[in-house]
Amino acid sequence: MLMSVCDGINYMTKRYCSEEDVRQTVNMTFFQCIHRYERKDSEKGPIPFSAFLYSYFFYLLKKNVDTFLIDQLGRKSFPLYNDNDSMEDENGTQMQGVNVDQIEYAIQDLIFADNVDEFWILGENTQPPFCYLSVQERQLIKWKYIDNKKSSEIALKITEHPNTVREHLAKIKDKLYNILKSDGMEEYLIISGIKED
Amino acid sequence: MASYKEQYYNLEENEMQDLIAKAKKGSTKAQEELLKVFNNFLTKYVSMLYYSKYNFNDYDIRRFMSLFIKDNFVRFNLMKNKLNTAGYKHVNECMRRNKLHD
Repeated sequence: MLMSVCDGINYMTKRYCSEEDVRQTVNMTFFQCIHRYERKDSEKGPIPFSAFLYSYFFYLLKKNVDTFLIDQLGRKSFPLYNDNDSMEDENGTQMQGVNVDQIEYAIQDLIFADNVDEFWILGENTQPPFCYLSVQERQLIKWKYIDNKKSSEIALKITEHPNTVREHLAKIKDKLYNILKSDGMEEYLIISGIKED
Repeated sequence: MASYKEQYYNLEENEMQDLIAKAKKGSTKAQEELLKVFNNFLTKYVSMLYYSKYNFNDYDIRRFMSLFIKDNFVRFNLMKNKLNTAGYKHVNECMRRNKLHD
C-alpha cells in the first residue's frame, strides 16, 4: 500500500520526462531557494540556510513539479497521453516525447473552424482570431465550447472557482470581440454570437 | 542551531553563508559546491519522483506528498504518518494522473 502511494507520483512524472528532467527541476528549485534566501534573525538567533530550505523547498518543488513535470493545472498544458495509450511501442521500448492524437471535431464544419485539437491549442496553424489568444485561453475555449464542459468541471481541472472560470471566459470573449472588430470582421460577430456588452 | 532539523551536511554555517553569497553572485563553482553539499537532500526527491524510492518515515517527503492531497483529514494523517487503509487509498487516488488531469 505504501508503495502504491508513491507509485502515483512516479507514474505521473516518469511518463512525461526523463531522470535528467526531474533532477533539473529539483536542482532549479534548490537554486530558487538560494536566490530567495536572506539571512534573518529570529528569537533563537539567525535562521540558518538549512532551516529555510527545509521549510520552503518542498512548497516550491511542488509548484515546479506541477509546472514542469506534471502540469496539474491543465490550463497551461494538455494531457500528453490518453488513458488508453500504451506507454510502450510495438518493440516494447519506452515511448518518448509528445504523442497526441489528432482528434477531429464537428466544429471544423463551422465558421472559424480549424482542427480544434491540441495543436490548435498550442497555436500551430491556428487561424485568426484565435491565433491572437494565449495557449491557456485556447485551452479554455476548447474545454468550454468543443468539449462542452461546464464551468464547474473546468474549475476542477484548474483548481479555481467556477466563477473565476466564467470570468476568464468572459474576458476571452471580450478579447475576441475586440480582435474581430479591429480586423474589420464585424460581420462574423453576428455569426459567432459574440456581442458587445 | 540545535532547535532546527537535522542537517544533511557537515559544513559550518559561516562557510555555508559564504557559498550562498558567492552562488547568488553567479559563481558556478559555489553553485556546484552547494549542489554537492546538498546532494543527499536533493537526491531523495529525485529518487522519489523518478524511481519511487523513498523513506516513508522521512518527514520532508511526507510533507511534500501531502501537498498533493486536498482532503484535510488525509493530509493531516499523512503528515503524522498515521494513515489508515482508506487514507492510503485516497492518497493513491489523488496521486493518479487521471485524478489530477481529468
